[in-house]
Amino acid sequence: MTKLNITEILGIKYPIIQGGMAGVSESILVSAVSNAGGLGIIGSGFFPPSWLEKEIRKTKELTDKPFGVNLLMQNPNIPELLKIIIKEKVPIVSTGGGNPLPLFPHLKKAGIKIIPVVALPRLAKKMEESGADAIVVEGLESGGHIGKVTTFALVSQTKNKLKKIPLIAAGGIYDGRTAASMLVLGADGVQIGTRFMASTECQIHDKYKQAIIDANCEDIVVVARFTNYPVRVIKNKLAEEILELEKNNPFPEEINSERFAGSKVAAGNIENAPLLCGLCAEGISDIKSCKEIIEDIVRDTKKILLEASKRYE
Amino acid sequence: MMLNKEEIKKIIPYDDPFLWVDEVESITEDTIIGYKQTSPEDDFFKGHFVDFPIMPGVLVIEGVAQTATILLRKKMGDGHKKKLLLAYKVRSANFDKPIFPGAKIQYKAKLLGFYAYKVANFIGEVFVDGDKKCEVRFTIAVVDKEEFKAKRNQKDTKAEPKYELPALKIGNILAKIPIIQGGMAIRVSLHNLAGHVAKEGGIGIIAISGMSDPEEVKSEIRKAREIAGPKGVIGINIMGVIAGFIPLVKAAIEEKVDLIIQGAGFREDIFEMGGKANIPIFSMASSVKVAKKGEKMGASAIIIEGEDAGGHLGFPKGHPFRKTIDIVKDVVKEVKTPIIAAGGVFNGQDIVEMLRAGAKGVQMATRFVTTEECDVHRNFKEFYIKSKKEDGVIVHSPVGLPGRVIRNSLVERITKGNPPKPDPKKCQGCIGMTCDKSYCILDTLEMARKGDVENGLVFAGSNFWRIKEIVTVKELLKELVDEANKILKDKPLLKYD
Repeated sequence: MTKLNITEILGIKYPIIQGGMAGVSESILVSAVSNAGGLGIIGSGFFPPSWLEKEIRKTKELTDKPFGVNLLMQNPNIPELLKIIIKEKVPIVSTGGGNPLPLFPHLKKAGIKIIPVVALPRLAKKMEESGADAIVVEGLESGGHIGKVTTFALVSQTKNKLKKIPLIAAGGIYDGRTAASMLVLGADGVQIGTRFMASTECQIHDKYKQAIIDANCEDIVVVARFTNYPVRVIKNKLAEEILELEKNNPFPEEINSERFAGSKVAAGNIENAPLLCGLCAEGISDIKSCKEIIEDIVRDTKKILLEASKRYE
Repeated sequence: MMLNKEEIKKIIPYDDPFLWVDEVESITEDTIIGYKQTSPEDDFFKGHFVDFPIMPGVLVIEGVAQTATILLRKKMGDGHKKKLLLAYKVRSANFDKPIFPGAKIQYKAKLLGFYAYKVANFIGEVFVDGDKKCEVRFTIAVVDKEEFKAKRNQKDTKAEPKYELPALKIGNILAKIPIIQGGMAIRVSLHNLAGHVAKEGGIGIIAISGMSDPEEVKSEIRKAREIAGPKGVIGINIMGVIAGFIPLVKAAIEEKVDLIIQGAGFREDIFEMGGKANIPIFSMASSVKVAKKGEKMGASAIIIEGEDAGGHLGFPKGHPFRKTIDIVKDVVKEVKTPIIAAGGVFNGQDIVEMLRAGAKGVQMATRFVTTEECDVHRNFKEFYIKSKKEDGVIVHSPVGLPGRVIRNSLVERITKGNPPKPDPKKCQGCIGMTCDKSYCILDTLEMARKGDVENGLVFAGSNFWRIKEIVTVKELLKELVDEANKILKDKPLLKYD
């Protein structure tokens, strides 16, 4: 079977996907990314069905381009969320945080494209065999809940295991250079999270955006490893408290993982909220529109790949 | 003060000189605050330390843990007296400052999680006059007193060779014959079959998958008990994917069923429900992985079902079929929980083989279909007898699992990819989202059990064709026991304990 192109499958202009971020990617950001030629994805996290229904409808008002919904498999309301997605005819669903296979027959039947997000080559292969339309491998450079393998290791090794579906790289990608490197490693497209948080359209608090811009590599830490759901965040008072707690060998129950699923910092309470953020923050120095972000990446990627190829002539 | 020392002694089995909490101030859903008044005259201060008396850290932990057990016992309700609460783990302990003689020690314990009524995680904090002295994280294990005693006695005596089929003892369950009659949905094994099996010394199982009214569950259990008598062991079997799972299980628990067998979709919540009511849960497994999961969750026994079983098989796409005995041999190496072997067990020799492989008992279903007492239509029973070996086939079930059936017109349609389309208006959503709606499993099974063996789905184990006649439960059990005993008389079981 001939291999399909990711842009054809999803009906988008550029192979750039905005990662579904609970509490961060809602209708305004999602529609801005989709309008700019990428794929915006609503992060439904632990939100109730009513929230998702509202955001889908708002997104539809703001864009006529394809967009997606990310489902966090730990959400107890998955059946209701699924019903809404089918009823609202959302064209694409990405999944994370658990086994999405039970959803496959329902999504297939409704003609919805499935993009599972996984953190191991083995799982990527399994998803392809089970009927996924594309796959995101997310390396531990990403923000929020992370796996154990780097993007570098994941992309090349997964590429060798996939037969036909496109591979999307995620974790640490924020500009033309990082995007180009993923294409070289074997990715067909990229998924980007943190860079889109520092966009004019993202609805997180300005102080959160500023924290991303200010953060250097050493300011980004991983907390809650003991829960088996480690989370990458910007170091603040909350993160320091958790790191202190970790010295005492706490029980996993001592941290409520739901608390980390959404990071809309209410009233800019920047010290006591989890500031989910990827390792790429040091490379982000300004707030741009989603259109600028996407066009800069597309332009620079082409330029870099061209220049690099010349070096070996 | 909420509880004084005397009231505390009525709840937890401690007394002087080892009661380290003498007052409880408050108890909420997951917290408890208690106190211990020390005195400079207390014995232990004389030796800890000789020149510098301070409260021993281990006693501080003991005190906060004893306080925690008051909260746990309150939560466990009436059954708590039958349980032992034991120290299982101290995960971390920090002693920030010493506690001096004469101090009134305040213990604050917070329950973080209580799993399957077996394991409880706590954080304890210890204060004197509002000043934090110690923080400790610990786990308490809940153990059944009777089971604990039985296990202890067992270790003292070496297993004797068994020259007869041994009784099946699991927790408080005792069945004279180690045969569980497998639950057969929909409404194939009901009160009449289960009641008679239990009456004759086996374990009778009512399949409640496919029922929707909790009252039906209750009435079936009640009627089975009437047949079985006071010593008869009656259980239920339910699939995990059933949409009305919780209300149906609740009904069975209210009717004080002796055990619950749960398969086809692993459910974690069943262990909490069973634990709370002190009803053992038997988990179904077709792999070492799932067997281990059942053990971890607190299953009292694991039923290992291999490829020769009838009906839904626990080998979804990508999982190759395996013989029961092969899985049993693998599982006994890694699982301590009692194992019951199911799938393809046909005669006394099969039973002995399974016990020799390490199983504590067997589950059999197909042979019980062709008994006078089985609740299914006579056509169904006769269909087993008149069908041939080559009629036994595997079909896809909308549940997402393969199903072992006897070939008929319906099966032809299914294999040709042309099954009767389900009517969405009539759909009861019996298995919720799991259903792929290729045909209606509820309808087709109901049709077969009511006697339409051409248009209904006839589940059967791979050995159905070996059955020659319809007998009574009593005759069948006698035949099986006699066959097994004849073998054991010459070659006893050596390792059954």
